[in-house]
Amino acid sequence: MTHWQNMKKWVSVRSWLKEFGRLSLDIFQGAGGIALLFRDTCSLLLEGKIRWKATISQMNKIGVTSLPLVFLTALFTGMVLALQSAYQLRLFAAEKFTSDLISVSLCRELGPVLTAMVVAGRVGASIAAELGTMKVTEQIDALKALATNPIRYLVIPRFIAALFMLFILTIYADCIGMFGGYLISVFKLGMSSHMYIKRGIDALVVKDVVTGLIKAFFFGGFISIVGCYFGFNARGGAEGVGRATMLAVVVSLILVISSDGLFSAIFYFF
Amino acid sequence: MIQIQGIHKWFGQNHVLQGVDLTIKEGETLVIIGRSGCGKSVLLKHIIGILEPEEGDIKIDGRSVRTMPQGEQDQFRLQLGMLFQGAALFDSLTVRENVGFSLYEHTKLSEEVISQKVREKLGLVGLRDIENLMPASLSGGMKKRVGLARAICSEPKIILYDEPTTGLDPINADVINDLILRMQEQLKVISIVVTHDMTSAYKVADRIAMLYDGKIIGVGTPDEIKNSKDPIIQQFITGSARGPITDQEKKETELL
Ligand SMILES: Nc1ncnc2c1ncn2[C@@H]1O[C@H](COP(=O)(O)OP(=O)(O)OP(=O)(O)O)[C@@H](O)[C@H]1O
Ligand SMILES: [Mg+2]
Repeated sequence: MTHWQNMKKWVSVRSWLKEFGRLSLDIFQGAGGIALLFRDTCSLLLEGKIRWKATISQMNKIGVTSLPLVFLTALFTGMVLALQSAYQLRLFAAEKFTSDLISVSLCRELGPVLTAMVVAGRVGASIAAELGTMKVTEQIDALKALATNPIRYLVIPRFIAALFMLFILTIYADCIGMFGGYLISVFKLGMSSHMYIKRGIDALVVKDVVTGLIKAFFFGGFISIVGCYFGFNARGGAEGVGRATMLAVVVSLILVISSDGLFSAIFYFF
Repeated sequence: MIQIQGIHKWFGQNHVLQGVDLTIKEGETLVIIGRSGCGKSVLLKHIIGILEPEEGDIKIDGRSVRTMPQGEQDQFRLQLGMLFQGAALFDSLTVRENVGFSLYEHTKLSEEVISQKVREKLGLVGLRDIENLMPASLSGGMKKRVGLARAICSEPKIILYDEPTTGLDPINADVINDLILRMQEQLKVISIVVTHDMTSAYKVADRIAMLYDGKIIGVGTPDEIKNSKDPIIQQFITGSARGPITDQEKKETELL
């Protein structure tokens, strides 16, 4: 009997429509909620009164503690990039372009995107879990009852910290990645150290660096706001917090990747 | 004076408050009783303005919080203090920072003055020497009392207590009852107490209101409630398993 009902659920058009409707509702509700939270955050930000102490401690939590992970990711990306591109470029006897390729692709694409992905997994999840726990244990309600705006108290420090820290982490990742490429090019591919550095820097134009950093700014904003949004909307107990954390990571990754595509398209034309 | 006028609240399909009307007079202690899950905590959250009703209005001293501009709202909120059912202490802050939260956030008092006040409020709820502990290292009953100290720290004119004595030993429960009475006598505050503990209810209440099925079905002095003819109220206050409340539920489950 139940087996048949389960079967029926899958064949009935109605249940498909229902699922589809629910999914669309969820998506639009989430998108709207995130946009509203972003708007509220910005309007409170313009009013001033930023809690600098909390912001600094968030900067430490978001930025400084992410350094080792970003270091590893960037170092190996740079090394792999050097190896793989040298392998291809060798076919055209163009190995000396390895360093151009590394520096440009790191600054334009890989630096900001990889950093954002690492931070989304690490920081986005921790923001969502922390605020989610506060929400389900009524601490957010308690903040409101004590006449404190949760957005000002919780979101703004995280938002500012994420904006600045992604910016700095991206510069850091660019440098470390190039250093990884250097290690491979100089010690494995036999390029001269002077050549690698000179070519790598000459290949960069201001636009490469600036567009990468603009992306980093936006990614920082996405990750913090999305983490806060799902934290604030957690419900139920531990399970709800787990779900909020998962959604925060998934949605920020989607946003990072899709907006990266959009930015690349925009920067390509301008 | 607090006027609650016909408020309705839905959570999805769940119609929790179905037109609650209640007036709380100046300097009065009102006890709200009702079954678990009938919406008492939700009602308190409406009064302090954390939740907004879909219909109806709540006026405090003739003014509705919802229509105030943001800045004024915060000032207004400081006149209310609430003890949450689960204490809701901030677990990243020490007991001192928790209790003194509104002073740290909204006043420019010096650290010593705040510490002094925090110590005094903790003394009122029978706690001392725990200012530097984190909430995670407190027992359930201690958390509750720290929550109460936090609620009264900004010296509010209206205090909402959500089950202040649940989870406390009988002696500390009576300390809290005395505190509620003392706050009312000395400071003339309005207190709204949600409780399941009828002894405590009779002790502190000026009036008792019963919430049932999303409405207030009876309000009166403790004596009036004790002698109420309403079978629902009678079943609740005598705590009997047989009566109109349970019959109604039985019918509902049978219908399903
Ligand atoms: N944030 C919320 N979202 C959805 N439903 C809620 C929410 N808060 C409360 N409810 C629902 O409202 C109803 C009343 O809850 P409430 O916490 O007010 O009960 P209560 O009277 O305080 O019970 P108790 O005596 O056990 O504390 C419950 O059915 C609960 O499921
Ligand atoms: Mg309750």
